[in-house]
Amino acid sequence: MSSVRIAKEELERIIALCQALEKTGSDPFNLDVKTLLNRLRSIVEKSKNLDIIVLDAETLYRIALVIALQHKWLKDRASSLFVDSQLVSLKIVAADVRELASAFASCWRPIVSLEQLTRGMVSEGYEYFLSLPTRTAARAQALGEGVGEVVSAPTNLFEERQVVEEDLKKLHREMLAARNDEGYVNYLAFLKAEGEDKVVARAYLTAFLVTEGYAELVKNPLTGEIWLQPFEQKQERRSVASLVTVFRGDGFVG
Amino acid sequence: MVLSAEPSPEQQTARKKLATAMAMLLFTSHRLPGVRGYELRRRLGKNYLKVVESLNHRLEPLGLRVKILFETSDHGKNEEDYDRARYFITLSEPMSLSDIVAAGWRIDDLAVLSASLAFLFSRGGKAPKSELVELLGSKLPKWKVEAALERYTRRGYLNDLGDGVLTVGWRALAEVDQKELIKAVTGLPQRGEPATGKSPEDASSQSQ
Repeated sequence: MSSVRIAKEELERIIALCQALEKTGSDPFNLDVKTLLNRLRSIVEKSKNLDIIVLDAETLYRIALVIALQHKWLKDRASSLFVDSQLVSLKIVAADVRELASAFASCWRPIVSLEQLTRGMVSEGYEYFLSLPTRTAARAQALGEGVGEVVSAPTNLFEERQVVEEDLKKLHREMLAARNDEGYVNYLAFLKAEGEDKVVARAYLTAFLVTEGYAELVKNPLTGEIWLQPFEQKQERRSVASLVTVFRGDGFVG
Repeated sequence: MVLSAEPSPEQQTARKKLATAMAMLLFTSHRLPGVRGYELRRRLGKNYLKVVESLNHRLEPLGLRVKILFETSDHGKNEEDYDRARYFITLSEPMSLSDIVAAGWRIDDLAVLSASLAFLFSRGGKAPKSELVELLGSKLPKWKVEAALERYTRRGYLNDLGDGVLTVGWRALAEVDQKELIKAVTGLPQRGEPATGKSPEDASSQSQ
């Protein structure tokens, strides 16, 4: 009984060896096929167990595959395409990254194709959406509480808009009043007029006024100073360029 | 004023077939670009290869071509092989490195792809991933190499068999000329060799 087990193990080992060779793509001539076949013959002659015969057939099949690999190996080596992998490895190690990229560029003809959403993809997306877990009870409850806010949101939005419009009008009047003799207002001084806390809010509203055409923002490239030029009436903006201003701490950065 | 003659019904049919073939080849209707021969046969009829040939002639001046990727590398293709083959539209000539870089590719990533494919081609199309990572690790950081290999596996340039073995992917077979790449890589000058000022293409053409 133990001899059957030993024979079985040996056959399994040979199968594993052949499979490893097949997977890694290493030199198939590393395996001595003749010795393996002799060993196979002796195992089968000694044991007539059904398991052994089945395993023997499997082993024979694996060895046949190795022979097929040897055939392919020889064919590749004989062809003009064959280049020793060691040589290629050496060249890769020695070459510069740019040279390697350039070598690839010289033989690369990429596929030209257009991508679009297909019916299959939509179907896949829909299936994914359906497979998503349902909302939990707690989440649903939380959502229920928030419904009131969602419903009243449009009203609040309208009210907020009214407030913003009022603020804009007020700021525009203030800007017109703050003009110097030349009709300009110092941007930074104007933003800080109501204290440091209001700088961001005033900057935000001022940006609206400038975008709408009620004022123009002018930067002196030599001094870096920014000036506002308010207009009585809305003007059509001649330039669509935007200017980014940065505030850090209590000062204007740029 | 020159009035063009009204196209005959045969010409109209031929034009329609060309347009259909072009649309089928350009639009990605599955996960992969291109179409199989039997799909072309279904839409264009049994003479679909003539339509493909005609399309190829029309694409040539535009710098494009129809590439046929057969499932087997055996010589002497029969009708069944053409039916099972995959058809793509590719560029007919390679782009310059600067154009590729301008298209958003990084030199490092291209080098990884170049070295990986050259290594795999020289090993008969497959090799252990660890060996490739080790080889590329001599040029670039390991994390970068692994990330690039992962990306190229997703794009179809490489194929990860899942047991630590990498093979050449379908896209590499369709887009990269194996012979030219091997020649270009083996034609690269060794470190310390005097620069000849020639591109790998020149080097490869000289070695022919």
